[in-house]
Amino acid sequence: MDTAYYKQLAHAYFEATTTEVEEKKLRRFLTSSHASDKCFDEVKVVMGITTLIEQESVSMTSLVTKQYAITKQILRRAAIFILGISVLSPAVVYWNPQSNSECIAYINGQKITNRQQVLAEMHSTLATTFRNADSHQPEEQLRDLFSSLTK
Amino acid sequence: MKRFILLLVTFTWVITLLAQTDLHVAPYFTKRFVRTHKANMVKLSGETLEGYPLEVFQSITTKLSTDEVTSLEKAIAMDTKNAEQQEAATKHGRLYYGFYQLKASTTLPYRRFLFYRNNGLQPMGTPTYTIIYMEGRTTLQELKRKFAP
Repeated sequence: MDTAYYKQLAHAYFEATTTEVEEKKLRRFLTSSHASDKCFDEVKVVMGITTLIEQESVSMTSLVTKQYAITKQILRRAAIFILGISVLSPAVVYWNPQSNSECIAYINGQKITNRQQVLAEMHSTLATTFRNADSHQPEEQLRDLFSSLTK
Repeated sequence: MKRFILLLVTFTWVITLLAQTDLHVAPYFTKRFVRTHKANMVKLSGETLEGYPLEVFQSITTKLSTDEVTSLEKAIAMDTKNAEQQEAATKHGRLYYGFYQLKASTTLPYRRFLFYRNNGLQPMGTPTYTIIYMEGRTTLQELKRKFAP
């Protein structure tokens, strides 16, 4: 960027010898990042560019603040979601077995949901489990114990 | 605030973990076990048990390898270590049957029962194993009276 040219333009601007096109050119240059040299500060003030740059900087700051606020809101919602899951999952583990009504059986690979049939399976399983349990008396258990010792 | 939330999350997860590791025989009452072992399973709870002194009934009847039988007997021994009431018998050095009323749970208002039967040890019995878990307002004697043949 030819800053010397724009220095000349700035000088001409103060002399009131610039054309409209040149002024536009100068204004465009002064709002760019290339016009950081302090020698342009005076012309920036006169042309009212400082206010423009300040406004841009203010709008940039508000944009950053807005983005920060959105990020914060997302993080807050994520935290509430995680917290909710953490609190609900143990609750489900604790209270699900009591509140749920289940009625299902798998017999020889076949799924049964009919209540009467499932209840019949329950009776049958319990009856088989209790069958001959009382006949296995202590004497029989002792005989079994001694027979395993003498083997 | 952040510390409090972290503490709350940790606390709730610890509770979840404790609830899941309640019984050592729990893995036998899963659909996965039924599928892998072609086992017979019965699950009843809530309203379907109306008219019975039970809230939960779960049973599994399955064939097991020798190693699996040993694991199951160990799981039962661990779960029934502090049983409030028990009736058990051994045959040929193996647990033949066991009827246990488990130690009262702090989170459940019902009594818990765990039954085990090695069906292969009874005369003419099939080499299968039955595990039953129940919850209800009943006693071991009442269950026997109601369901024993």
